[in-house]
Amino acid sequence: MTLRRLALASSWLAVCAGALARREAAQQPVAFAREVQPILAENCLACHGADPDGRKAGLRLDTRSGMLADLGGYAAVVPGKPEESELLRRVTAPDDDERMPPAEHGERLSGSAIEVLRRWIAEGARWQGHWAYQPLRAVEVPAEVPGLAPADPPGHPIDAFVRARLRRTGLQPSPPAPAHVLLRRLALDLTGLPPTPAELREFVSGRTTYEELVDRYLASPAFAVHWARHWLDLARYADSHGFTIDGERSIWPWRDWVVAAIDADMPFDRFTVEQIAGDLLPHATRAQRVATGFHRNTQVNQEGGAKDEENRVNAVIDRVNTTGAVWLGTTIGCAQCHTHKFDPVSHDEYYRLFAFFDQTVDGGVSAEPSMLVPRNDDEEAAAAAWESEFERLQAGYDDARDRAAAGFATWQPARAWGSNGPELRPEEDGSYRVLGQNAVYSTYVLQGRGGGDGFAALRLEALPASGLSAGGPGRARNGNFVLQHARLFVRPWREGAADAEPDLPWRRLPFAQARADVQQDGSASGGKSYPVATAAGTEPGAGWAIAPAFDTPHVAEFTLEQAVDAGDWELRLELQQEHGSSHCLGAFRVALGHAPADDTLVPDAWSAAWRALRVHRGRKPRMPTTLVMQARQHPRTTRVFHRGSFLDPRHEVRPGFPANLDCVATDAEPADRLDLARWLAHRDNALVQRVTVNRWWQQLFGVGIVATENDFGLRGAPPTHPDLLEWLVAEFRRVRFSRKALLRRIVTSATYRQDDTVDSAQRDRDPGNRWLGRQRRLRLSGEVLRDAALAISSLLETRMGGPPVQPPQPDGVFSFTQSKKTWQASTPPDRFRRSLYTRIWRSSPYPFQAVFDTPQANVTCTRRSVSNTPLQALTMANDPMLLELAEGFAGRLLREVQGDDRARLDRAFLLALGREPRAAEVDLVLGHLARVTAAHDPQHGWTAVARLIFNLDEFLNRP
Amino acid sequence: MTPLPERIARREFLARNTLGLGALAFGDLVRRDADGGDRRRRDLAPRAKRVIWLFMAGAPSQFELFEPKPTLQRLHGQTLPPSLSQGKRFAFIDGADAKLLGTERRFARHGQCGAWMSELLPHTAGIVDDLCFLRAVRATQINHGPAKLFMNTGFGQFGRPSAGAWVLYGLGSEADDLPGFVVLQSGSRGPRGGAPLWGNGFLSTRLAGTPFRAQGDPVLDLQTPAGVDPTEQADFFSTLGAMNELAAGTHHDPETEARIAAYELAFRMQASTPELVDLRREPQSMRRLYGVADDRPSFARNCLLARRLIERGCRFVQLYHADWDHHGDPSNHIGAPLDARCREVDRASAALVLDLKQRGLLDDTLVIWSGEFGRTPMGEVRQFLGRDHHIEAFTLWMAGGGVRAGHSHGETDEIGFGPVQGEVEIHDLHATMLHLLGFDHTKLTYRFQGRDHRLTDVHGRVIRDILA
Repeated sequence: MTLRRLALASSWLAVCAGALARREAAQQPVAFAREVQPILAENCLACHGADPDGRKAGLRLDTRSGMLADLGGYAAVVPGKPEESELLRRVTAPDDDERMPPAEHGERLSGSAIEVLRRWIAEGARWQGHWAYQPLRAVEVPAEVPGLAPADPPGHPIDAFVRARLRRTGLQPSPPAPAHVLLRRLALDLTGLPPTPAELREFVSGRTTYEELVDRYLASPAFAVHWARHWLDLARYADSHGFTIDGERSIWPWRDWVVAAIDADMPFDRFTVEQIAGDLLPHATRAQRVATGFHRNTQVNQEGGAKDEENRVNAVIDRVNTTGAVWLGTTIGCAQCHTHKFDPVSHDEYYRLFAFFDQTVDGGVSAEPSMLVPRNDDEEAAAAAWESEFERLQAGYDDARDRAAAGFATWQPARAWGSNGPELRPEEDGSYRVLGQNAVYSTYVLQGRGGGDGFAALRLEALPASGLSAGGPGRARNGNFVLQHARLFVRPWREGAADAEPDLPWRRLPFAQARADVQQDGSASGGKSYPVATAAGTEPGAGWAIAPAFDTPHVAEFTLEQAVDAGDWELRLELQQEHGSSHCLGAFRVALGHAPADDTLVPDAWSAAWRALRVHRGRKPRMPTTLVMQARQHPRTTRVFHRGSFLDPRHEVRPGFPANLDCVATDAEPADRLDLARWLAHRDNALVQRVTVNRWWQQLFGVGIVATENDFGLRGAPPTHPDLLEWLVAEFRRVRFSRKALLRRIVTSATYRQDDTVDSAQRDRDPGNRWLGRQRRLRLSGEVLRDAALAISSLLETRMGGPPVQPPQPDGVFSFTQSKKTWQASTPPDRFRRSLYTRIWRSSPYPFQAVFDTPQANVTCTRRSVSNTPLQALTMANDPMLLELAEGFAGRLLREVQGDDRARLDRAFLLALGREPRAAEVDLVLGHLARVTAAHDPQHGWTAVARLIFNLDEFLNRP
Repeated sequence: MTPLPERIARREFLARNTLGLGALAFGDLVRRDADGGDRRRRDLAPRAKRVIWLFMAGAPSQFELFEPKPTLQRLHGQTLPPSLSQGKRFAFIDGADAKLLGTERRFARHGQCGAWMSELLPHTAGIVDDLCFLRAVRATQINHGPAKLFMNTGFGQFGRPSAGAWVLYGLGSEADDLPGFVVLQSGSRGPRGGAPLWGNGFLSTRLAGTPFRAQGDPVLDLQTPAGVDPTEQADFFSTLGAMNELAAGTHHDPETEARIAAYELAFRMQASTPELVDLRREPQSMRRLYGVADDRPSFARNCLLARRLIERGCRFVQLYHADWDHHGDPSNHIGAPLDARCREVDRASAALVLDLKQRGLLDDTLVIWSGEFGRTPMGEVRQFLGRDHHIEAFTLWMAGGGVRAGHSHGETDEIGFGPVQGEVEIHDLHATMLHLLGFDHTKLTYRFQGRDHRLTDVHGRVIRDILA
């Protein structure tokens, strides 16, 4: 390294001459990634970046070839020749018309920025790709540096990196934190609970070593509960659908899967693969399918007027963006509408990622699919039996239906819509399910290529479906529909022809006759009749209806007056339904063919298969369910959405990885989510590993080595300790992606174990603690504050898993939600479960957690903001939930400590803060105790003390 | 150890001048370190110091309230020309089939300015010379939740800071014992979109709007817990303060100072907030002006409360009144339900403007009255008559704070479908609001995820024509 630097400097010396050059030669060469690239990213790339649409003058400065490109006798950058480089001329141009960046885009570059560019060009304009997207770089652990107090404990590689950097700033590392402080930090960081007095005794007396306690905490179930919460933030987990209706959902089995995986220390690569694509693994287990709930934590808008396809597309977009933030540390969302201005993800590449997630059956207004989650062997057997029987019956139904339609071919054109707002969702079996606005009347239109083999008849299946009122097939309350007219039109197919193309008119195909399996007959009761011939237009009348034969399939067959020959046709079918009161079809399928003479339209086998299926649905075993990902059998075609709008799909794209982020050597073209999962989890994917270890570091130090934990791109913060980050990734690989092993490595370093006191040198020279000369106090989360209070008051119920619970919350929390929720406070012991299990309504999160910055679960959260507000003070001081715990704490002290107040106070401090009270504190607290006790009684007095302790700044923070 | 008076002075500084809701948060410091952080510069002469936004959630019909259109009356019952309906998106109706709907409401001109106003808003008709109408505002989102998000955050999806958060970020609060951004709500339920409408987005959590509850205590946990008497409560806060002072002296964490200040503000809020919301302290005549009949939650109460909040230094007050959606269902159509909504807001909206004017507060208080989009000129026929969501053009009004009084900006075509001149986008509305508050909207920025974000994204122009 040093040799190379010398060689470079000397060759540079040979080129240049003069005193100035000699002075500069003594400096280190300009580091492109650290010094030059930020200047370009900040000032130039918005117009001269990767996005071809916004690019000005055809110049791009995000690649070396772009910089060196011939612009007509000159180039932006001529290596070694600053004076011939147009870039330098333009940034220094005195004239405002000429200078870059243009006045309306920004200020002139500073003198020092210009100097950096000049030197970099003079030194040969050496180019490096962005650091975060490079393969792992081998680093050496620095030798111990002189001039610093010895590390305690000595010889930890993390400390070697930190101390080498600290030495350059002239700061000293802080001494080790006192034992009780250190143990409080460790216990809260690893388990989210304070250390017990017994653990404190063992550690302070030296009977148990620090490393033993680290292992004990990592092995405890409390560790998994606490670290699962971090992952839930990333996954935007909640127990409801979100938006305004915010209905309840069941996806807590996925939350329990996360706890179990972390508890078992599932390696991070497997943890990744199972959550992204567990359902696609060969012989996927039920648990692996539960794991895919990660990406089912998307919101569902159930507002009237919300479109099914829009919901689905929004969910897919959220999955792409969340994957980008969580695994790639890249703000990929920008590329949804245009090529990313700064980071190397193009508009097309965004939709290549989109394509991986575009192949699931989920999404839409209904939250399906979900799966059964058995809790024991009996339930496992019951679930398996029910599911295999369901599959058998479904196959039987499909078979019976297809047999009945022998001689016909299903027609499912790409375009299908209905007037007055309903949405026709094409299903995988070729049918349409009508969703959304339950229009009073509506005309459905199906239009597209079809009938190529020629046809003489049109077959309309009116299908029953679960979810339709009375089982359907209609959307009227009683399950009926009235088809007033069916009209079929034909014209030659021409790509891109308008609906009403003047030179390509539609030709009506009149029906000669029609028949149906059932026709509503009101003659006996004096009501109206609805024969199918009236829908065919061969007889006047009201249309075709089927009452009272609801909840079973029906078929109408329309024979054309004149058969259509084979050819390249475009067809248009209009199903007019104007009876009113929503007498419209809810599910139907259309087929074209040649009608057999006098077949039974709906054979008994078909209707019997439907009845069996319905009966079986009603026998679904009662056990928890969870939302899962499920792949489609017939792939969707993914297209690029122009400017991000799903209403404007353009050219087709195949699944693929962003080229510039791809440091994994692969030969096969990726096809499905499993390929994406394996790419993310690949041993060589250094970006994913950097992002992951950086987030864990952030959890333990408050800020990551890369402070912009969600943006490892060109505009993100560069790592403060680049070599340390590389070493951590290498270590992560060495321990085979074990979370516990890597965390153990970090928390055993002297850097982690330092004191948190801020001395004046630290405060003045490194207020943000970038160089890690100390530990940092971190305000505890709402979850940890409540859990700590529960533990201290000995009320904590440690039972894990299961449906969410409701600890008490103040009245009136729901006054701002659109649909009122119920919140029946749980009784003990569920009342005192860990906060991970508290129910989360997206529209009104549990107030104690919300006030302490628990994210709202609308989008992924890679780091919580940390605020400090009077509303928090009101909550801590006055919330009845917390006061109940203070009463519990007081009861425990009175019960467990006999004797004087001082002994009780010592015990209280030990339990809550891990230390003895200082003299001044004893005076203040016992004074308060005496005054309150005098006015009331000891239980009240000690409750006041407990409340005081819960509100101490020291209690609210991890040291 | 720093002498006590100095410490208190520092805390007062943090509490008042920064935001009124605490002090510099650790998260902010980190963001600034890492990301370049905030850029706020107030470089224009401010006309307004504060904002009251009366938000008619659900979107009122401009055709029943503000925009008489003789041609629309004449074409009643006909379908829209395909040149207008093609490619347009509506939430429920089909643009090609729906029929134009004339209004049954009577309109008259009012005031010196001669603004048209329907019979549904008689009190607002009495103050038209104080109002500035924007008659050709264009929205972008077709459903309520996203549209309200856009109106508040300039973006149709979650994640961006609300206008109130931006204003508080730029100006801070002048309130000693109250949050600087307060949200009040009336009607049957909360607005679609929920808390992100007044959220802080990527800005500090302290900038989020604080929703006041409509009944009882305005914020949770404001009451001293049951069984704790005022003496004990005061003892608790003073003992706690002394304990935290001891801690601050040992580890020198500025966050501890901030927390001490937060507890002091919390204690003051316990005392001041009940007084704030006790409208019986207002004279009978004032309650009558607003139409506050009793203690039940209402839009009128919230209007009066809004005035009391800004008097106490609150920077941004937003009022939501629910149920302006009128599609033609039994509970939401343009007949009786619309009458009821108008009765609920008309008197109090006008009273607020008059009251602010009487007190000399209207000059530097910007009042905005708006929905999230408009309604279609076509009818939506369900069991009753209604109108669907319409984003091409709608009407809102503003008052005070440096906007032209008795003025109208923009105009729609003969049937009110789209703008013909003076079109205003929501980003323009935001740009103008910031301009009135003394900000160049392109310079009030915050660096997040490598980008300088603004309320107006990369859009927005100040509507010069409406500046007084």
